Amino acid sequence: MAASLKQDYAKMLKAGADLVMISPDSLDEHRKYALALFHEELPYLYVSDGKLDIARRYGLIRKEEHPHGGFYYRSLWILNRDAMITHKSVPWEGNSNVEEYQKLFDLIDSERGEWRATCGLTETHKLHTS
Amino acid sequence: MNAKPKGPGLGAKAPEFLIETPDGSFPLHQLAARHENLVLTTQDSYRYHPN
Repeated sequence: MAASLKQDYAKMLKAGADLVMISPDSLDEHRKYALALFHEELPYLYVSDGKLDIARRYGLIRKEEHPHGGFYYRSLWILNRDAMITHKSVPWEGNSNVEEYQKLFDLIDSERGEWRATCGLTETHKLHTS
Repeated sequence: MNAKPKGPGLGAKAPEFLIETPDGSFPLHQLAARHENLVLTTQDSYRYHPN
């Protein structure tokens, strides 16, 4: 999903929106993966939730581990200027479902994105086996 | 089967947290006020979910 968001971030900015990605990776880990997968840092804002504090308050912790590993739900939230939640998708399948991904752009009145099915799996595999 | 996740609902104020930006550290609500829409997305570690 990061590959799609990376290439579509400019469209979000053009529509008057901004994007914040949150995950349990540290900032250093996030940078390392971005460089391994994309050979450059990701353009949008990033928040490390290593202690899962944000995940707890947003109800994002799975009761059972995901088949691929991990306990953190993929999700999408849209806030207005008053920080009120105007849309939420938990879980969000924008990485595997093009319509769910495109709905994000419709919701923020943006030109539609250019969803990409996957990215960097080979590079990530190398990252863990080297 | 995982139970349906709970969390703040539509129309609720988003729980606050700090965001580090190149221009300094800002509370989420302050950043939201600067944009027509602020999009938050979450994912698990890249080590499990690289895409």
